[in-house]
Amino acid sequence: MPNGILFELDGTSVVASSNETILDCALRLGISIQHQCCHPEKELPRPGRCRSCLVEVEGERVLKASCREKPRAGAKVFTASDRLQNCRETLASLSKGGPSRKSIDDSHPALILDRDACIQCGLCVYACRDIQGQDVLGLANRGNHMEVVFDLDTDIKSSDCVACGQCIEVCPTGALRSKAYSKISNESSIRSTDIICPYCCVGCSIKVEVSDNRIVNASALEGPTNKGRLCVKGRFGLDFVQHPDRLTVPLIRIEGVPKSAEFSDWRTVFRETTWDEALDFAATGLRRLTDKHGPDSIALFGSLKTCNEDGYLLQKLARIAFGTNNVDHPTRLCHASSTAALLESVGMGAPSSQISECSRADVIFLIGANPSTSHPVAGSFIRNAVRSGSKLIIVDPRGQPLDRFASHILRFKAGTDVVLLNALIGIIIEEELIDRSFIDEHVDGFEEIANRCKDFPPTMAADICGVEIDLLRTIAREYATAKAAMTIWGMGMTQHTHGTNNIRSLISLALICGHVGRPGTGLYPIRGHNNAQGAPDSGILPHYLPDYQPVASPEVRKKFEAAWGRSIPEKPGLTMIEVMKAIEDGNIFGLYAQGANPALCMPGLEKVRNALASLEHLVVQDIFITDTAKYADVILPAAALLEKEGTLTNIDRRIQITHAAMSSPGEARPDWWIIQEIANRCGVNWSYSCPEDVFEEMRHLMPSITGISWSRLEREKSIQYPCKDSDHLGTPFLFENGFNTSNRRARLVPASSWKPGSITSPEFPLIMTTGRTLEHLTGTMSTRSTVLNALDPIACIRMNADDMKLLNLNDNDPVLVRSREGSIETLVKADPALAKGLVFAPYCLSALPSNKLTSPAMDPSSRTAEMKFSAISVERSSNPVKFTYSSALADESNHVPLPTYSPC
Amino acid sequence: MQNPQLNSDHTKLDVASFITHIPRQRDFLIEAMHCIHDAFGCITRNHLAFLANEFQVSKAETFEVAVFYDHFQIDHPQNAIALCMGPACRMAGAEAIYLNLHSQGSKPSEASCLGACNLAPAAMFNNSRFAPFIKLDSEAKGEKKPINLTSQSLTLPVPLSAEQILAALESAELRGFGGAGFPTAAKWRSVIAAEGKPYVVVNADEGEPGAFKDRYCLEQAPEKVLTGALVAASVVGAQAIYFYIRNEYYDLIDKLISVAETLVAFYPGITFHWRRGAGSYVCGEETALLESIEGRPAIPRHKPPYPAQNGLFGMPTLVNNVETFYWVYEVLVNGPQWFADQGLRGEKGVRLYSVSGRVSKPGVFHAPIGITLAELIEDYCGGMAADHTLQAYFPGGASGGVLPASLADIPMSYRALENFGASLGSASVIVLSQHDNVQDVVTQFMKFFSLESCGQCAPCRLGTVEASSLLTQPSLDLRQSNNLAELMEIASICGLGQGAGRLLMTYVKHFFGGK
Repeated sequence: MPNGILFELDGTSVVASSNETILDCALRLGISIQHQCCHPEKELPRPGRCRSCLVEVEGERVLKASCREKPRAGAKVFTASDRLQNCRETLASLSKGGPSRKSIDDSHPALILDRDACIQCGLCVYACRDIQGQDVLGLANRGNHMEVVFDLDTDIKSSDCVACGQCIEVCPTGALRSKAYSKISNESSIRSTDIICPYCCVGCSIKVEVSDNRIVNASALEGPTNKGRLCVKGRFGLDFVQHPDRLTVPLIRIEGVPKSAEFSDWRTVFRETTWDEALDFAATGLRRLTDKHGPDSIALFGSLKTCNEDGYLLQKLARIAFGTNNVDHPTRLCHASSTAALLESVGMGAPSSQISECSRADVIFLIGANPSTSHPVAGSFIRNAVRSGSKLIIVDPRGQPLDRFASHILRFKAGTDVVLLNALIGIIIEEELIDRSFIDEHVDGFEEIANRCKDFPPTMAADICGVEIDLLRTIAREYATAKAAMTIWGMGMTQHTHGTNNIRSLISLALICGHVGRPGTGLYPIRGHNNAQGAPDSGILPHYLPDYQPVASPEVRKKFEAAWGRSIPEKPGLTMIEVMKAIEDGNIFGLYAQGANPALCMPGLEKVRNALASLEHLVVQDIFITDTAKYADVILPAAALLEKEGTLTNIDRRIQITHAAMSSPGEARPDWWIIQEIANRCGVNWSYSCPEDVFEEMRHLMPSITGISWSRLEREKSIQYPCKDSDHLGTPFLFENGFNTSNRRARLVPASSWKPGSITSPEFPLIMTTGRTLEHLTGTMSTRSTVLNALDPIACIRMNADDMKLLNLNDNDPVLVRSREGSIETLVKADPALAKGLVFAPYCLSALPSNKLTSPAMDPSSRTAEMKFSAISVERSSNPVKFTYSSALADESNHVPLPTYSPC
Repeated sequence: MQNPQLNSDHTKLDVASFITHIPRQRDFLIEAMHCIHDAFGCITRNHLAFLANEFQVSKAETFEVAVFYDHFQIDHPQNAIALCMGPACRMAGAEAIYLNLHSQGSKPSEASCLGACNLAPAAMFNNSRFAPFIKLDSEAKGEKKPINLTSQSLTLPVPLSAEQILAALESAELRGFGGAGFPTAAKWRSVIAAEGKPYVVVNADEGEPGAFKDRYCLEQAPEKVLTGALVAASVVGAQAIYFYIRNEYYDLIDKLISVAETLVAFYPGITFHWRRGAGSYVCGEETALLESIEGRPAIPRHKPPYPAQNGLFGMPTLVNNVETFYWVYEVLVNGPQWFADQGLRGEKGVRLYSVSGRVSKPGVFHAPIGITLAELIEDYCGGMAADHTLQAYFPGGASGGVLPASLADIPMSYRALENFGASLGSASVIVLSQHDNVQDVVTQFMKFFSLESCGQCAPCRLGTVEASSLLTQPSLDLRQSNNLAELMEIASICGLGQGAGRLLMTYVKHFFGGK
């Protein structure tokens, strides 16, 4: 018998493959066998506990659960018999059970646990532990008392549940179910659409079900990156699109109303208008300025939340309709340091690998990133990898949920990254753990790196970074001797005045160990927003045309000019922070902010907001009246991601299509349409009829994605670039055969500086670092989601409990936080993840504009600001007697000292 | 309820001092819980949060483990006295004692069978078993021979090769004495044939109501049991022997360890690992036992794979009962012929019978396989107790089913009993007289099963509860009982639910003339 097991099922000969169970065979042949606790169609374990799928196997004393039982050759299996009938009936009568004895847990905003509907199959526990690695659910007690518990049998709301909802996804009876979103009124009216998540850059595929234009459910699809997983935001946080705050009609500032954010009712500031008037007003205003002051007197800010096509059109608009390269977007503020250093060393700014490689890495080196919170689904793959044997090394000043999975945790002093990384490099070189043949074959600049790290002898570095020298050595050895190591970093690395130097050092560390270009390895900047990779790729950059083709290059310009039929300015434009400076200096007078929110996301917000208020013409295109829109002259209502189609590029360089799940409220329109309307009012004649038209134009100008056609994307769902032609399958790993440089070799660049721009002082003795919370990423969206808001309703800063004690502060006390840049008033909470002297603030919440405290001091290469290191003070805000942190801390030995050592 | 977090250094220090010697490995989690429980009389949720952190497991996992095992009291300590509510102790008036103590304001807890049926009624105080309510008769207590650890008793008289040992066990037709009666040599051979580093597990979790013969072996001849295990380890090539002893027998541990220390010198490279059970009948099921050793709730695994292929820590594992190792020793010392020749009525061999209930002399007896109940009572137990006439008997504890007096003359062998729907199991013979109510005892056993059911499969989880309720109805619904019995017997995952089905089935069949 070739490749199969011949047996008899209800008298018919059947050939089973070696991994098929009796149930699988029966279902394949259309024989129905009742089953309850397993999902035969899914890659899930078969609990075999409900016993409803029992079959009779001739000669066996007991019945067999067909979901698990593999047929034996020659066996005679029956799916029906008197004995089976009897058992099934008896089992069914038992399962009906008596009156409800168990409670419904309705404590959580999104999840319900109805213990009466539970059949104790344990799939939810598997989902929680083995899929998501969250370890909150358990199946406790025995016999008829066996029940699902959260943690130590607490209610859901008080538990450590992160509401990823994986349990809902697998629960066969709806005992665990969602109560998010609108109730279904009409089952037959439900339409489901595949979308890409609007939150983070993992790019999860979601099935959204809509009825009467209201979301009724969201569930995980087997997307190439998310593999059937979602996080709380993707599953429960999509209802922001139907929030009453949505912009539904264009608005124009009422003449004479001064620009200020201080208003509660927008009707006192703006009036509703038609698209025609709004577009004319927007375009004319910008053109008037360029006519009067020259093309570079305006700037355009794009979005990392909208589609590639939108970004592409925005930069094209800037360049050919207005004749300026002053076009940038907020990845400038997050991963520009990564892009700069990667382009310089390896010739490509994108992640060189994919998150699923963690499973093939024996060491995962995670630095300055907190994926469990910021990229929860990526975090789940890291947890899976650790469970299956990978070692996780976490290097971060702040504690994080992944800590309990780590084999080594290095909590170093914020801002000392370059010292730390160079010390690691030094140890690896000193102990001769480098990959000599990889360096010889692929790497230039090793000697310079070897020289530079001599400036950071390990003992001294350990002292500066506040870490144990032995731990430093252990980590260096673990990393260097790993067969394959993934190097993952986030904005903890990049948002520094020495951000590019951080990444240069990190690249050097990976390359001298040969941890790139192979399975299980990778240089992996873990980007933030849903299109944080696609936005820069599509050319919303002042120095680069799409696909990082330098605008300064005559050949590049020539190619684009030929395609676009217009000339392109030669001079690179200004970056976001430079634009703000230029506004202050009176060189820029107009700004078009398409889905960008500089009034919240930029450092030194006081000045930024003043600059925005001083603009002669500010066009804001968004889905809500954002902090930036408050200063606008005209506001253009855009469609949200769930309401439009287009492509997005995720963390793994996957280009994916998202579709419109519902229609936009009122007159809101897709970004690409609005940009085209503006363009056509500025003397260019565009006639794109849909995002597909735009994408097809893009791919012919972008060598990395030329092989990815729209129709191919519709068919294949996702393709990883580079993909040069239509036969190319896409590229999971970069640099398998050399680097993307002229000589195919990587060029290591030694770090040139390491000192933070902001320094602590007796007046500002604490260090503030910023980041996201699990529920809030893009606060404009997340704070308008019912569930996310209910789960994390209070904007607050977080501190070490001992520091709070010194300041006589308790949880939820009001505090005044000051820095050299400005001040905010907010609440404070204790957080064991923070070392003494370290304060954490979320940065994406209007209610807590922490960027008022950050400094616009820039990294010279990437023009990213130092948002991860701000010297601040915290004090009780209502206390008449000022009790400042500085006086209390004067002789504290744990006080983070001023960095005093400077090798450069 | 608040979700405890680890924020109190006080708790942390306090608890940590009790588990300093415990490695932070998952398979020591239950040991750590014992240490804390011994110290505090209970485990609090804060302790569980602490353990979760120490052992790198989730809080839910520590909770699952702690609440699965009866011995662990959560948050509130229980009365240190536990009364045995096993069948023999009930017959000896345990319920009256319980009520009496209760009325005096003392609130003893109820234990399932403590394995002291010959001393009934028994109790446990702070982890030590005792029989405080009757004057102990020295005969019933059993004569404890001083153990003489001479080199002769430590090693086998004739050095045998692995193949010779296996051949001897085969020729003796030695079968496991834990309940299933699987041929011992075949089990050993399949472990040898499997790939991987094997383990040997000694199942000393004797929990069957009415069973106390393993206790007898451990008290009377620990050197034989341990030598049997060491021989097994040598034969299958295991370097580690996990000895899992039920908490109720933990008073024997010091003795066992000291005997083992002497013995291992003769078996270089083999180490004993001691594990203390925490009160779960289903641990007697071999895969549940493995789960428990690994530090998890004792939920039986699906088979296949069998432990011989994929057992402890995923490795080939030989699990044998205490008595099996005892007889391995005896067979090897006295020869397979000596063993096999003792059988009656075509059966081979001899075994230990735990006899309790209405006989004059309850106890553990070496008697031939194939003996009838009538012979066992007359020849070994000094007949029925005065004024008691045989009414019914349980040949194999709660799970072997129940038979009427009219079947006292059938041979007590696996094969013969099977014809009547019963099973010899671990040969825990409970004898009932005209003064006992059979249905009451069956009901108690069914309640016992429902409390001990791990809860994973529906027929057992729901069926044992339903059966308990049927048995307390004024008149037993025979059709429903029969259907339910069949469901439990043939649709449950493990022997617990199957045994519960057998109990109900035999009761309906033999006492109501059911089909």
